[in-house]
Amino acid sequence: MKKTIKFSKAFLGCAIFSALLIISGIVGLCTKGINFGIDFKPGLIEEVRIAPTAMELTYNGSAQVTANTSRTSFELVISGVGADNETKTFAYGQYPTISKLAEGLNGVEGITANVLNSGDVDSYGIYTNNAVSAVLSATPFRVYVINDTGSADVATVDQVRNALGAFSGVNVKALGTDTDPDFQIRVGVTDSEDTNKSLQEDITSSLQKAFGVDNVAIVKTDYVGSQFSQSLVSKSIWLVVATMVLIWLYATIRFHWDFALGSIMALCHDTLIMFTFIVWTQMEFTTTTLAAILTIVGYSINATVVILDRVRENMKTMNTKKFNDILDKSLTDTLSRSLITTITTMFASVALYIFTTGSIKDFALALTVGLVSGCYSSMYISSGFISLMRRHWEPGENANRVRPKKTTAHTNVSEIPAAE
Amino acid sequence: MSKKSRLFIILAVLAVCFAFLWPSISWYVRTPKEMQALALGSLEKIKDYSSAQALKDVNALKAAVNATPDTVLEKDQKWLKDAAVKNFKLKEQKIPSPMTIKDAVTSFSKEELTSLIETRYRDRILKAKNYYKNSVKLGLDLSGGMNVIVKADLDAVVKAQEGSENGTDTETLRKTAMAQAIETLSSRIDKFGLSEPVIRQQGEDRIYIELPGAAEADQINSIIMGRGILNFRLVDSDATEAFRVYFASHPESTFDSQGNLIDPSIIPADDEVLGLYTKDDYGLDQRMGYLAVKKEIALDGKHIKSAMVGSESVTNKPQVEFTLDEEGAKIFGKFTGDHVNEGLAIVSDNKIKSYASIKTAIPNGQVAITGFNQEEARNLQKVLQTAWLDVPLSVESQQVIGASLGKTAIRQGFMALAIGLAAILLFMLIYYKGAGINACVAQILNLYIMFSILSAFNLTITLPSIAGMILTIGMAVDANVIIFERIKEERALGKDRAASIAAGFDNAFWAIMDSNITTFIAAIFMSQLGTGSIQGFAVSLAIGVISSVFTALVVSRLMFDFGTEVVHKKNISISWRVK
Repeated sequence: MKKTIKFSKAFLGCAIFSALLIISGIVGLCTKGINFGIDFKPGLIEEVRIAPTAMELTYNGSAQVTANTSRTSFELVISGVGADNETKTFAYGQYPTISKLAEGLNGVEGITANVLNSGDVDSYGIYTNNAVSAVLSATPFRVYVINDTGSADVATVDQVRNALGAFSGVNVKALGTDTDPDFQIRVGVTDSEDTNKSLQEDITSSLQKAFGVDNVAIVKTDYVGSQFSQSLVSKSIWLVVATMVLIWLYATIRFHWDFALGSIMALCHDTLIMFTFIVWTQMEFTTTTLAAILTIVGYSINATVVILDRVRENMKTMNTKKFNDILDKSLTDTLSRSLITTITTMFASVALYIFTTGSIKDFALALTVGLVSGCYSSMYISSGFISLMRRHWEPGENANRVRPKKTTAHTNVSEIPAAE
Repeated sequence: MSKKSRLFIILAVLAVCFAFLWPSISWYVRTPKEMQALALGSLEKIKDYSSAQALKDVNALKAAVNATPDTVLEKDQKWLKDAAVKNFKLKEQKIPSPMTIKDAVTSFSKEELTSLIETRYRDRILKAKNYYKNSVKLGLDLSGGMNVIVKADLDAVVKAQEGSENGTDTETLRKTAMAQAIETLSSRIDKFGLSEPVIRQQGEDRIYIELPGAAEADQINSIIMGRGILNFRLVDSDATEAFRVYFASHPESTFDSQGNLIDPSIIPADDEVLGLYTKDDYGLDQRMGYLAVKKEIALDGKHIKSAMVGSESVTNKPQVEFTLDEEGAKIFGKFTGDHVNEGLAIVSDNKIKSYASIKTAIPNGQVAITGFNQEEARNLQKVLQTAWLDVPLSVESQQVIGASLGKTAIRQGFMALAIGLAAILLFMLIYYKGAGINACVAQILNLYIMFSILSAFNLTITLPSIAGMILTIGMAVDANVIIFERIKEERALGKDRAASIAAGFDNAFWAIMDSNITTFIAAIFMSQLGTGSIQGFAVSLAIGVISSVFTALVVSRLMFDFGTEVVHKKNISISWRVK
């Protein structure tokens, strides 16, 4: 028989520890506030790259020709009336420089590739403006490439910031490496009138004025109007609360009200701990972060329910005067399960954290914190609460309090379905 | 349940899952990119392509007949042979053997052959399109593209209509205005021939537009902000005729992919060629032909005050009546007076919606157009009403994601999925030894089932939903862990293999059910109320919960029972301590 660990001794200490953590989170919330992402704070986020146009592509045939770039090759997908349908792939290995690539592209019927600037630049790292259509036409389609030969040409954050000086509340951040920077530009909008189009145009034209018309490529834009983000905030709060109420209802039906309340306590605890983490790290709070919180709600209830299930079972079989003994035994029984499940889930969240970027990376980080908190709260917070509620517990009343359960009785060997 | 029937259920689930996955596999793996580009185009584009291609092929076949009439049909021309055999049978003629190219081709009329080949092309493309429709979609963050949420200001519409003679109640007016806004947007976006745009109403007054793969940020704003452009123009019948002659001889090289003339000199400089459209049975625009019209606008649509469907007084045939304002009546009166017996085209968003000939001068601003059935009349009335029912639209949120960014996201997502899964499986193998294999099989099946359900419901995979899958795997292992830990305990109590497995599963059952049902509640809630990324994540979580319960309770149980009853194992390899 395994030795029972006295979890119950740590209940009070853990409650104080958690309370302190959460209070620090509230303090942080008051002093620092939450760094709301674009979903919740109306505005425009634009990611741009600044580099000279390496090549211009035009097409004068009747087919539809789409240009695609990938890490290893440049592709033309040709389809429609008046051409052979095919995908032409130009691997950078085969066409190592821009002038070589242009030569290859010129070989395709109807395509004209015009090399601007130096043609000796590496084909790797080629990129295009994502805000314009990739279907080639008589209007030149620009292909950009970072010129990493001289770092003097590379724009800096300060230059971008200066170029956008006319906008109030503009925030510029450099992403990527020093020689190949992406600039994230963020501008808030305050009034409800629609300023999307003009705002975007103004930013683009300011950048073009500063860096040259041919040199600005937009990688990504994200715009949220003020009314939209308003409705999202109220919806999100509603979502979290309603989820918890439903889970509480289910747990009340399946267990007992104080068990259910204990598990909800653990859920609230986890949510608040994650908030504390988000506040102190000033991580951007987006809908994806909200998804992380809701996941932890689902995960943590999972862990709590498994423990409560054991408590209910042990209440039937154990002969003890103190409810804490039952809790200790149940927590010990389920300890290895609690730890292993947390570890396996953490494998997943850590893999996400390592291999992804952007909001999913933040999501994975928030999740990892939530997992630890969920494991801890299911063991100490919910059980602590139940222990508090049942400090005057007497053996024998459990039979009335807890609904009987089919499977709690030990199964006999004879009940196994007979082999064929 | 007997082992056999359980095995049967598992195999049936796997087979059904494979059937669900098949369209996705066909589309993403087996369809070449140029075919994808074709299949994603609008039906109009597919039709144009098939007929142009068919014409080319027919000419090639005819040339082949003239050059080498005695060539025997090859294996890859079996379709031609089969169709020719059918022809001979119909005519009750002897089927020539071996069949030469001349025999085959001459058994068709030219139209028959063209339509045969056209159908072949079209069917192939439509088959690919069908695969796409039934496959898992990639979300914008993975495929690149853009989405826009547009808000229609219905209050402004209601306000503008206050006091006008159109006696519709507010509720109907709002609905009509919304339907019209969606239709206008759809038809404008459709004109770009973009790949499978998604346009749907969200809530009462919002429209969600998604353009996967294509980032037409420069155009989308003008699409949304542009007013319904309705006007009347004069048809240039000489130029129309000249264009028809040219188009018949150059079916492939008349237009570029955006629908502009490659050689603009075939019509006078002040003309342009526009398609003439009617609604097909599904209410979709169908192009009937082309007309050359004057670029100059004869009458702007803003002069239309109201439009309704009435009936001709003598014949009682339906007609469309519309009223012009004072200024419009003056312009229209002069215009119709100058152009009696010429053609008048009603142009909406650069599509000719109707065209009629001018019988007499119409000076009083009361216009009636006749010559169609009830359905056509109603469609035209709808077109005319766009002129006075102006729905102000504004962009509420817009997101543009580059295609290359999407590719990076796919790579990252699948990398995380693979590494996360590998780490979890390795851990299970090391910690639970033999039973770990059991868990591994269960988790791989889990992933397979999750993908196939996503495919079955044509759901969209986003980066958050890949994250959801990875996490679900992490959490799904939980069910295995609960069972394994329980079996270990029972084993430690001294039960034999069969008894401890049975007790382990039975005692773990409610713990697994309770914990998964609660998670499922959370997931369903998120999927209903959440938006965008949350939704994708929640759906895969919910699916994962169901499939993990299935794999843990059914698949894994069967594997244990198989070991006990068929292989006659006495011990359980489940831990380093317990044997």
